[in-house]
Amino acid sequence: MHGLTIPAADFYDDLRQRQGRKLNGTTYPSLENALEVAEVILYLDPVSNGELAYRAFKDEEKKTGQKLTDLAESVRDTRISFADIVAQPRRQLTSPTWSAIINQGRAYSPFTLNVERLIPWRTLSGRQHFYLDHPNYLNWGEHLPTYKPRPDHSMLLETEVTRAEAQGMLMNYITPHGKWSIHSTYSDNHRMLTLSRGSYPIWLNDKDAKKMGIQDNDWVELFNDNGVFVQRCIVSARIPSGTVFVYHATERTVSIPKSPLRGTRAGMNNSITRARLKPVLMSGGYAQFTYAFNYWGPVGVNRDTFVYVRRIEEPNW
Amino acid sequence: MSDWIKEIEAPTERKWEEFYRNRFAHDKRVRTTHGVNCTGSCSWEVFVKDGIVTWELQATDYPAIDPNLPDITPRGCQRGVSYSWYLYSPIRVKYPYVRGALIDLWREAREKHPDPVEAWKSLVNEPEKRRRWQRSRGKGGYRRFSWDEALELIAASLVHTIQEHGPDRVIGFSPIPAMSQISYAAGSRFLSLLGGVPMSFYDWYCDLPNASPEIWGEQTDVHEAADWYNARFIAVVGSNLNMTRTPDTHYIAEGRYAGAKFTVFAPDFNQVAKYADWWLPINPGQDGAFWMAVNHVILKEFYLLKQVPYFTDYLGRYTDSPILVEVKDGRPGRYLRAGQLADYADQENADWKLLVWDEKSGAPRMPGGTIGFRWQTEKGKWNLELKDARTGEEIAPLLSFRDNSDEVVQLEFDDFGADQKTRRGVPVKNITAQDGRQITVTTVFDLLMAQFGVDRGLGGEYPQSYDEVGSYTPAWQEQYTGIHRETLIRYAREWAENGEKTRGKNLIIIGAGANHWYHNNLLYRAGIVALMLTGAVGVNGGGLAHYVGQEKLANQASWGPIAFAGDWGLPSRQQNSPSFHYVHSDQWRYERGYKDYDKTVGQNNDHTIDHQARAVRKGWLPFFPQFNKSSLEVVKEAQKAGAQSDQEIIQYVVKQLKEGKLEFAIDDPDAPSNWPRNWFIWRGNAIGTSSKGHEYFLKHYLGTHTNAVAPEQANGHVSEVRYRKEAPQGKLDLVVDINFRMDTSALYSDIVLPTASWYEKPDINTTDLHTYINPMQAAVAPLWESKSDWEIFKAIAEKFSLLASVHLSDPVKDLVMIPLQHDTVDELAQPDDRDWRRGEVEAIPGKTMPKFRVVERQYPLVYQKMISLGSRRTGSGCTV
Ligand code: SF4
Repeated sequence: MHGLTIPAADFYDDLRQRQGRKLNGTTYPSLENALEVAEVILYLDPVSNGELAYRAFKDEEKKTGQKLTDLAESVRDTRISFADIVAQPRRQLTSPTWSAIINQGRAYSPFTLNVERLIPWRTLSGRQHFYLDHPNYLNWGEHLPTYKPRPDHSMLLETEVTRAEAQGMLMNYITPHGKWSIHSTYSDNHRMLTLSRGSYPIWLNDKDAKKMGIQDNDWVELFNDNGVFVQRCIVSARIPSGTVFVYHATERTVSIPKSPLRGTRAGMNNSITRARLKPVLMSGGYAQFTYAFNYWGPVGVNRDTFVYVRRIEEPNW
Repeated sequence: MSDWIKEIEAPTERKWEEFYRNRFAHDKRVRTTHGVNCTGSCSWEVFVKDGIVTWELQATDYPAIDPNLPDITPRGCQRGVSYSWYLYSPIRVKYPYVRGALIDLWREAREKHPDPVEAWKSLVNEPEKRRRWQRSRGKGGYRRFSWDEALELIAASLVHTIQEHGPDRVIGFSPIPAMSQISYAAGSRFLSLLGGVPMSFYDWYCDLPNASPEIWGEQTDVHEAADWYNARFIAVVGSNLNMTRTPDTHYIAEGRYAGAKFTVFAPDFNQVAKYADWWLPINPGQDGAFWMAVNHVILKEFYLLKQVPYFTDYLGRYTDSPILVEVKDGRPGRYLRAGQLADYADQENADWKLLVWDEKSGAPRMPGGTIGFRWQTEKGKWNLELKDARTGEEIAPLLSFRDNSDEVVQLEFDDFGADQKTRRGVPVKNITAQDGRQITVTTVFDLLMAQFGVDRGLGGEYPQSYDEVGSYTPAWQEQYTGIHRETLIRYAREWAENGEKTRGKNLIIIGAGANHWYHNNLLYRAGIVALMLTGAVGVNGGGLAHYVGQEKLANQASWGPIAFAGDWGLPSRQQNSPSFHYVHSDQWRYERGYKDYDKTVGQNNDHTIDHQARAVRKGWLPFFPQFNKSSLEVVKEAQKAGAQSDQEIIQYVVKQLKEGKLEFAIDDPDAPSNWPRNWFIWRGNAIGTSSKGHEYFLKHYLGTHTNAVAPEQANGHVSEVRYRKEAPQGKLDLVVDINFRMDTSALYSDIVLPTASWYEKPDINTTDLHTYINPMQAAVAPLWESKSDWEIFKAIAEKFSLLASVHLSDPVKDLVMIPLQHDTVDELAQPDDRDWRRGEVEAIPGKTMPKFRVVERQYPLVYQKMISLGSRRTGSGCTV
């Protein structure tokens, strides 16, 4: 991590002693049950093993020529085990696998280690970049901080077919995080259902709703070329005009009626969306523009999505 | 006092209260938390009575961080506190389930074939049979079956896929390891040992802010909520804190009490907006325009009209603003490289060392800390000291050539909003290169001043006042944001003044409301510029706090090798999901090309999938399956052709690729040889809430009913990949969902395995929002027939190894393709962008194309290796 090499052979041997298991005549630390895995994770990581934090800083010292081990000197004996975190939450140790100094009552703020200890950022210049000179960025005009307009619905090719069938208004569809669920989890919990209106309501601005003849709690159909979604609506002045909200996220398990338009069962919040990749974010092979899992690459954007909205009569189930 | 009258009068009538009291009685208390990607990681005490979880209570025993910071306790939210009800809810998956159409066929086949692998083969290679269970996906008809039968069917399908198609047709999706690290590692470790493909989540969820790797070389690194208290000016952008960071929001209240100004950007009047000192009802997705104009004002008033020593010093030390950039063809070009100057030409990695203009010596000098120093032989110079790294002399990097330029040149800048180019004067220096050529250079800071339209009397099309609508003035932003220019000017001034007075205690809290837009990287960059210009990054109470997804694995250094089998020396086939789904679920077929949805496209007007294909062959991005043949077969062929050493095998493969005898799967994504076949889903909702383009998943992955009506449009618009006339429907042979909820993914899978939830297993949970490590523990044993994810994958591995000892008994060699990796010397692979397939450069693995590694797989040992920690780690955090 962060390109560091942290010698831990002695701790590996401890684990072989403590929780060894044999494979082809050699003893390895066992990962047979989850508790053993937990102990390995805690024992071999600088945020929970002070000696490893010290060694990690030692490695970083070699690279940077800066004095750093003082940051871990006082915790070299600290070992946080699973029993420890069960007894009471335990705070992590300062480690160069992260970027903040959190010793002595300091709250975690990223890059304090870089600023105070002159450790470079892991970029081309070693500094924070205003400028990006990857050839792709120069080509796409993103070498300097800039503004690009939002893709227009006419460019997105997801309302071509539905335009012909369309009744109602074309609106921007977004799925913010909600109040009575975490994503879709808990949304079908009895408690959460009791506290909210239940199901997966579509939120509309009051003036937009009026234009479409929609009243609060009416059934509404959202559709574009990608798919269709049907639910009751909540009309509120709180919602900006031109935008329709469906809080993240819905399921197809209960409360999903048939779509009058398609005659089949309506879908879920992602039925309306389609993956659109931004090519410049595929740039690679160059300094910070190199691949790591979940670190780099195009992302699954979903807010530049347009949908037709219309009122429907009580749908079929 | 005497008894209640009722109790004397009718003593039995109040007996029911006993029931109520018992509801909250308990005989056991266990600390655990919720692994739901909520970012909370709250410590909870869970109460159990007679083996039933009855209720939970927020733990209050977190050790305080510091007496001067508000206490972190108690943490929790309305969702989490309801979990004890959810455990036993009707949607709980209690038993293993299988699609009826599949199990009937399977039992029939098993009667005919005593060997389960043969039985699976007889089904999956029979298109009519295969279609039967595919068509029934999502249409109900699940039947209970036994764990034994489930494990046998799954293991047989894996053996068959590896034999017939290769291991990289087995994929797995599970998100956010931080929320239950061991459960994640269960599947990813098993897949990595097989040679299968763990799929990414953070980028696919659009939680990854690309500006972070762009600017900082960092995936994401953000403040714990306690540090909000240290901020003095807070901008909340697209993050509904009270709703989505419920346990943390008290720090805002406390911070305001301590004197922080709290401003909220939100198009809707939401929970956090009503909590603000200042609500800015900005138009959706237009926050970037606002921050661009804020930067215009800051640069003008705090860098031109006056100078703030803290700001300029910060810029010179911690940002690339003094670094020299070559000016070419009337536009800003590449950074000047040390190797271009005679003084530094003999430096190791001279192409990867950059230069500044030293005020003291009046010459270009080479500071340490650039990436060339990171990966060179001589260590100790990769740091941010203001010294010439060759001579050790102190240097004073000049930010701008405005006062001592050789000349002023008019450069071209893009104004994408108005769809036009502007020409603006920039001060430059002319220097002589090693080869005698004249090079014109300027500084990044001078380019910034020009880009943001801050007129310094250099000529060209600079806006002349805040009221002129030109990039990027306060008047300019009105058309996008809907925010009045006076509001913006006041905001920018207060922002910068606070930065000056507090030395950078300016905080942007930002989230999905900003990151989920197409140009999110630009939106974020505009805000981060306002942070850097006020010296706010890297100080307590300042910087960018991006919270979307619980991505922080505090102990990633030790977890990584366990999760991806690095301890056994195996590289894992890690796949970025956005590319994978865009290609394999055939969503690319419904687009005509990039130019249709971005008018800023310029020269780059081919199809997105063409960029994707080039990115794979250049080693920029991963892509699996790798080839149009099994990666095991490819090695066998190489050996047959005489290749012996790993190096020879790789050479053979490169030659085959160059000659077009072997293809990357991405070059022909719809060929049956290139389909993914087996899909494991656990801890997530891959076919539901995580499936952007859900209806295309149903159609092309699953081969079942869909509501998509979009016409295909890609034909004739692609140049790098083969367009097949018929789009395949039903690429996947078997979808296995491991779940405790009967959610959308479960509804559409072939097999659902019941898993233990967060009150039923030991695990580890961490978050960005605080710096504690929290355990999960079993308050009760796994309910009904469920098992923990760790136990489930162990069971699959055990059964697989058993079948493998018959069908895949010999050690086999596998060739693994890996893109050029961050935090390794690969970062120096490509000084410029050239395509080997077009003959622009030699095809060299790890340099101009992906890396290849030959590894040995012992399939009968997968189970044993899974439950033993191998010794190939030289230490925690070792790079594999
Ligand atoms: S925020 Fe806390 S209480 Fe709420 S679900 Fe997450 S861990 Fe549980």
